[in-house]
Parts: sequence; structure tokens; C-alpha cells
Amino acid sequence: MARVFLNHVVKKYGRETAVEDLTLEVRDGEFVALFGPPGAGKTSILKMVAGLEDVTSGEIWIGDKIVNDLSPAERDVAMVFQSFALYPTMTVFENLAFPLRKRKVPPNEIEKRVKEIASILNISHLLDKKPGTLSGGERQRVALGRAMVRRPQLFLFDEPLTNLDAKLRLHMRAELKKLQREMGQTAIFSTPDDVEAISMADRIAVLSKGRLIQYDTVDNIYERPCNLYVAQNIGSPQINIVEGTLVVEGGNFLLDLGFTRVNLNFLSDILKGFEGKSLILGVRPFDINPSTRKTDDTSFRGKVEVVEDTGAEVYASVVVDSTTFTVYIPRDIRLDVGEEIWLSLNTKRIHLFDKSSGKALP
Amino acid sequence: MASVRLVGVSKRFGKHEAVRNLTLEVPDRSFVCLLGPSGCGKTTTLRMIAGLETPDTGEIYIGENLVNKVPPYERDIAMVFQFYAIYPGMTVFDNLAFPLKQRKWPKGEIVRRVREVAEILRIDHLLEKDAMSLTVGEKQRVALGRAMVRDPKVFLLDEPLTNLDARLRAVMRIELKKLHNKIKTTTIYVTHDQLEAMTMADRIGVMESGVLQQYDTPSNLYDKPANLFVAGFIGSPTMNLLECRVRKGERTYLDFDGFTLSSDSLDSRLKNVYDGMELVFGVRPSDIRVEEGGGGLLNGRIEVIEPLGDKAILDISVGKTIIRVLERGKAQVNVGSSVALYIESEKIHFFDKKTGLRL
Repeated sequence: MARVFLNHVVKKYGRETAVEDLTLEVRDGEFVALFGPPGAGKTSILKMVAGLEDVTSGEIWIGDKIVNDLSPAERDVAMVFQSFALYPTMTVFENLAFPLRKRKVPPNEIEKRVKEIASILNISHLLDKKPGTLSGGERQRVALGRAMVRRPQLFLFDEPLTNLDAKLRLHMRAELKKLQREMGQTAIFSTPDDVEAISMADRIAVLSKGRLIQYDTVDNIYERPCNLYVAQNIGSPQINIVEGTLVVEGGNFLLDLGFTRVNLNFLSDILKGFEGKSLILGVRPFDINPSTRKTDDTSFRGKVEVVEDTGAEVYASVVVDSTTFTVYIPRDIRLDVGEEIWLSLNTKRIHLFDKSSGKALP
Repeated sequence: MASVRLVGVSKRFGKHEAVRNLTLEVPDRSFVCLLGPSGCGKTTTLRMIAGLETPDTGEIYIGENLVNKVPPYERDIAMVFQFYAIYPGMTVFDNLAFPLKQRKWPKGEIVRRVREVAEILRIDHLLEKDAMSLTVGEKQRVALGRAMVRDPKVFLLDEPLTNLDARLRAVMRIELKKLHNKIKTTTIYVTHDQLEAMTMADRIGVMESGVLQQYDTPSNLYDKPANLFVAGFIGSPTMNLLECRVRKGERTYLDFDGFTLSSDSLDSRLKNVYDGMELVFGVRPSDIRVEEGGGGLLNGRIEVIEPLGDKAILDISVGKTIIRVLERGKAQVNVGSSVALYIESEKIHFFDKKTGLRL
């Protein structure tokens, strides 16, 4: 068990800055996601924590020690890579026992630990098989088991689900989350997939081009994105974005979107000083209410361009002026392409951003 | 425009039976997906329609014409493997014009047609650019445009979105669907991703081990899967499938691993089952309602909550099995709490375990 603390960590490769002045604390027992597109710095961060890369400057703490000068073996960390390699000629048992044999753990202790890990991972029935005969998900679990068997104080997973097919990924998401909670060990994983990040992590570090953009709980990242980048990269289907101008009329704060005016009086405190300025409104597909009739003065009309029915839920692309909204459609509304539909925004759930900086208001 | 019809088509590669006795009609102007895991025969089927493979038996019709003996380039189809297979070093215009130049179209005609297609695909502002300098999404539109320019009767698409990241895939799904709504060229689309098939297709042919399992509209596949394979393959998260055994007493009981079910509504659904019969009980994660406390058809304990923003997936242990529930909105329960599961009887799917067929 351990707390991890990165204190002003910088990583440069030649002139290229891979990680820019990163300060981040992972609490003991916490499951943290490093989320971002390729090139965001996720893998560099994991490798620096593991000791596979040096830091250019800054400190890395694991537990109550600065580990900058410790070798990977001395850090008591297990890293599971995206493309994990099992020993093909060894049985699953031998694969799991290998890290313990290297450390000269007594044979009866090895037997006990391997069986225990195998039962947690639900692979007890596979112990005598060779990796080549296993399914992708089973192999993944063996690789996890091999990392877990020596009970490191910290787990690092580099895109653990990326190479699995969609169905298995969904299954392993829940497995990995449950496992981490049951073992109680601190763990950090990287992912380019926002759904993986929000479904598994306690907290998410959103990264872009080596910079930490927001580090917060899953709820806060989703409900209170600090800027447009986070809003547009977290949440699926993607948040809808519309530009508007703030007007003040008769003491009312209205965001003029062209096709409707959104009353923002409940935000009047933070909107003072923005009169006449351009703001970006973000609204998630679930926070737009569709209706076959005009519901109130602020509702507006659009034309249905595409209907996507996944079976469990329906989303429509609705064109309003030059904006296309993605809208969640309840089952009781039947829609066809080309039809017109009324939309209204759930104003309590909208997000506002300053157009010039992209920063969230307030 | 043309319909495509396969009648009793089979194809073997050595001992491996890739496609077995496939009969399928793709109506004119429709968008049909062939869906299944790798090795199910979907790509072989597409390649036979394209003329890149010859069927061992059976007939393939495009429109009214039997095409078994017609070479690929005379079938008037366009096959797109990977959208971004474009010619490097050529402008977007030249990429689009290439198939027409090959066919020796007059220059004025080529310019007119390329502009028309570029406008439909909203790449008309990119015509003078080097195709390699475009974004992945733009490149895909160029490759698609190159297939469109000569106005083929049928589009054949082989896993075109597989190599894209999730977000771009979602955008391109909508683009492709919009495009088909506009031009209505008959399209056959091969994919292993059920979400692509569900959201884009008019009809889906689900294949497994070379055999067509069910050919139907997305909503029928979802609501009335013909067998266990289709039930497990369509829908995400996947349908909960629980094995049970029928026990006939004063009423019908279903014995599961660790719990037993019986109710009046189940009695009326299970008239034609016999004592000792083994069934599979199926229910979709989105068809289960969860409330804290007792009551309900089943009771369990929350093991894992996966928040997904506007919804959440709950893993609930019931007896010795895990049942997954998709809940709208934010999860209202906590890990460890005891919950009741409510399931409407008509939302339950029953399958015969031995045959795999829907009851």
C-alpha cells in the first residue's frame, strides 16, 4: 500500500517536452486514470513512476520515500503493459509462480500464493494449461495475476484494455475495478478511452500534450469540466456546443443563440461583466428535452437528420440553423428522418465557457 | 441501383466451410449489415458478391442478372476496404477523378461529377489539397467519394471504421448514415461491431460459423433474438443469460444456481415446458429496474458500479451469478447495498438450452 506523489515532475526527450511540470497526488488505495490522446504523456508518467524512465526534474514519492534514484526492482511496483507477454512453454501455474521463484520464495508458499491469486482472478481451472490455449481475456487475467502475485505496493497499468475486443473490454472493465477494490492496492492506469476512465477510476487526471488539464473525481470531471477541452473529451455521445452572445434586457441575463434565448438569471452573479461578450454553451445529449409540441417560449424547432437506435437507447442528430444537436430520445417519442421536433434545454444542467480562453464559468 | 440476391450460396476453402447454404435478399436502396465475429463468413460473402471469390454452389444476382460468371469490374459495384486507402502524392480532385479517367470520361464530365460528389461529402473546399495532408476523417470521405463518383449500383464496405478511435467512429457512423439517406445506393456493410450494425442498418444478417443465424430489422433482432447466439451478440452491455431447470409442481418453478423463481406471469409464459427441461433465462441490462431494499422478482447485492456519465452499469450478485443492470441517470445505490430487481415478464427471453432456440 502506498501514496504516490509527483512533485513538479518534468520529462524531456531532447527538445521535446513529454511531461510539463506535473504535480499529482494519488492517495493510498486509490484507483486513478491518466486520460488523454496519444502524445498526452500518459505512458511517460507511468514509466517514470515505475523507474523505467528517469525524470528530467522534479521528485517522485512512493510511500514516504523519494524514489528518483531507486531501480525499478527496488520500487516495489508492478507494471502491466498493453501488450503483455506470457511464457508460451510454461503452464499458467508456472507463469504465475515465475516472479516468486526468481525471488526465492519457498515452494509451499509459492503454491499457496499462486492458488490464492488464481481463485481471485477466476483462473483456478486453467492452472495446468499453456497460454496458447487460452482466450484473450484469460491471458489478460494471467498477466494481471503475474503482476499481482508478489503483492507490490503499487500497480501501474498501461492501457490495460486497449487490445481486447469490445465485448471483452466491457467485461474486463468491471473485473479490473472489482479486483482493485478487493485488493485495496493503489493503482494508476492510462487510457485513451473516456468511458474506461469514468467507469473505472476514483479520480481522473485529464492530460493534453504533456500538461495536466484537470485532476478531479469522476463526478466533478463530468459535471464540472474546467474547460472546453475536458467537456468535449469526456462523455459519450459528445457534449453539444453552441456559441451565443450575452445580452442584458430589462435586468434579465439572456444568452442569445440565434434560435433561442436562454435565461441565465440564476447565474447573474458570475455573468456581470460578460454583457455583449461571446460565450460557449455546452449541453449534454441527455440534458435536452425533445417534444413533438412546443413546450414553452424558449423551446426551438429542428429537423431530424439521423436517428441512431442502439436497442437500449435512441439518439437523434437534430439540425437547428447551423448547429447539429445530439439529443437523447425517450422510447415514447417515435421519430423519423426529416421530421421536425421541438427541443428545450435543461438550463440547470448547461455548461458555460468563455469563448476566448475556453475556461468554464465561473 | 439494384437489389442483391444470394440463393443457396456455399463456399469452402479446403476442409473449412466458410459459408454454408446462404440465402439472403438485399432490397434495392437498402443498407444491410453482415454482422458476426471473425471467421463467421461475412467477409467471404462480401467478396463473393464483389466477384473476388467464386461460390462453390448457389447463385448470386445483382438486379435481375445472374453474376456468378461476371468478372468484378463488370458487376458495377464499388468495394471499399479501408476508407483511407487513397493515392498519396495526388490532390483530392485527382483521387476522385481517377476512376473516371480510367474509364476515359470526357474532361468536362469528370470535373462536373467530381464537384457534385465532393459537395455531397462536404470536401469541395479540399479539392486542391494533397490527399495525404488531410485528417483521418477527411481521408475516409475521399476514399468513399472515389467509390461514389462512377455511381455504382451497389456499395460493398468491409469493416471501414475498425481502425478509427471511438470518437471518430461515432462521427463517421452518422456521416455514413446521412450519406445513405441522401444517395440511397444499395449498401452491404460488413462489421463485427454490433453497435455499427444496430445504428446504421435497415436489416442485419447475423452470421456465425458460416451460417446465417437471423436476418431481420435491428429492432426485431434486439427484441426477439431467434437463438442464444444472436441474443448474446446483439446489445451492449450483453443480455444476462442464466441457466435454469424447470420444476413442475402446483406451479412452474425455475431453479437457478442459488435461487428459485416462480410467479403467475412466469406460469403463463411457460406453458409448453416439461419437468426437468433446461432453459436459459435472458434479460437485457436495460430491462431491469433496481430499488434499494427487498421485494421484486429477484434480490441481490451491488458488487460494482460503473458510472458512465448519464447512466451507470451495476453488477449485482444474485445467488451465485452476476446480473448486470443498465441504469439511466446517476446510480442511486451504493456498493454493498441490498437491492430488489424488478423485471416485467414480457421482457424475459427464454431459450431451450439444448437447441439454443428461442421458446
